[in-house]
Amino acid sequence: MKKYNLNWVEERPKKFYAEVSEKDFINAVKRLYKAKARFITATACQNSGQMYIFYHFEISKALYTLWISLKQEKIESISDIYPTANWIEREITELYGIKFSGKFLEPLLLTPDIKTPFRNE
Amino acid sequence: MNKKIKIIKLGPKQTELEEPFVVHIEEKAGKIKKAEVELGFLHRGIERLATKKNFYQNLGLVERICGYCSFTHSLAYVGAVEDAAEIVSPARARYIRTIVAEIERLHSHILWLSIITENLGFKSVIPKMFTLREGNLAILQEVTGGRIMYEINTIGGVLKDIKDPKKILKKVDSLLNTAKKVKELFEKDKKALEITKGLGVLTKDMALELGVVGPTARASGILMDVRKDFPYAAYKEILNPNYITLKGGDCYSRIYLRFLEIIESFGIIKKALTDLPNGEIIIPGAKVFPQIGVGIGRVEAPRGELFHFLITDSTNNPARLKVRPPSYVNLQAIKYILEGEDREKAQTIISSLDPCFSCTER
Repeated sequence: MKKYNLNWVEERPKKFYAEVSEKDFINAVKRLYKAKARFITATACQNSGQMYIFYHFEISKALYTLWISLKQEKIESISDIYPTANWIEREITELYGIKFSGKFLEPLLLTPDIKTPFRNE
Repeated sequence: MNKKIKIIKLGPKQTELEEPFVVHIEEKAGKIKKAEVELGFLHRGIERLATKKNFYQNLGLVERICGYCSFTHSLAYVGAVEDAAEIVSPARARYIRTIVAEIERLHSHILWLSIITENLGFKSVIPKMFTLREGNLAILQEVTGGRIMYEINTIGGVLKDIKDPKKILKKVDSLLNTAKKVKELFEKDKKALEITKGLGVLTKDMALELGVVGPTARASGILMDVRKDFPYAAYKEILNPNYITLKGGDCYSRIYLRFLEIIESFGIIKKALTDLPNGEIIIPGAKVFPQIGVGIGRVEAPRGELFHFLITDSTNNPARLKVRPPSYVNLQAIKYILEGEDREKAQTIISSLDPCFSCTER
């Protein structure tokens, strides 16, 4: 299904997933914001050294998840568009070491002597 | 009046705050200019731990994220696993899950209302609230065998049946009468109204911008409730589609809304017990087979939308479990609603959001 200029796959009823490139990521988030999407949270994960982030939104009582495969461990922050993304971006930086460009993010959960505990080295 | 900016640190060990966290406040002339929340005292690495245990072992783990909403976490988790594995629980199991979830919501709201009414000096209500809470816990013990941790949810159903719904219905009716009396006491109390009206206002626009959830959002006039928007368990069959909302967005609205939700929850429990369908409580032989996939479990916890996102791979353990509790979003509203308020009112305003740090920090 094509919506908000993205190709969505309906994995389950009212739960849509779409992959987005790093290049188109911020524009895709801006399009969702314009469509009055509510930002729920973001999930970072690592699989065999490759980092992914899943961004979860709700629009008109349906769930839309944008997922992105990171080439480098760096991505643009969306907290200028969605202020509530601030905490989850800080958490992802602490737990996985992924950096969000354009801002210095203070730690959220961990003491300074613990570094990226969720990462599989 | 002293016009210098004072920096005050509330917490982590402070009688004003029930849980360990810090609020950094900049105060000038008795008014709060700026407030920031600092976390990091209760992080236990639950999400990381979940990848080290199999899907069934995680049922016990997720219940221990929080003591106020332990069943709700396990309900969201089984929702995510059953979504990934395409398992649909039997109808009787879904009704039992609804009943326990609502009794837990009652417990959470009643306990929180006891604390906040004590903060307001509304001492006549506190003994009645604790009697109500004790009655609630007794029902939970009868239904699940536990008062705080229940461990009756499993993948494909529940582990314990309700043998005598009529006996439980009688107890629920008696508690409902007490709850109505307490609600009336609060409605008539002018002091409570005076203290909390117009305090800590979160406007609808700000609430939408911040994406707050649950009673905090509904008290600001937002029509949002996962039980109605995205029905799970037996809510589609039972629930009245009308939202309970108030427009004030202040502390009074956030408190009074929970009284209204208590009455609604009693109604849901009574309907679920009356309409409890016959049948199995678990799918015989239901099993989660290792496969690559994703699943989302989303429930209306006492504090709002609880979101579990599961990624599965070809092993018996989750590849990733993400838990987004409601307080994680609602706490970010603290810095906005404290601005411009009196420093002495900070505790009441923070408490009115009903924050849960065990959930937030996992």
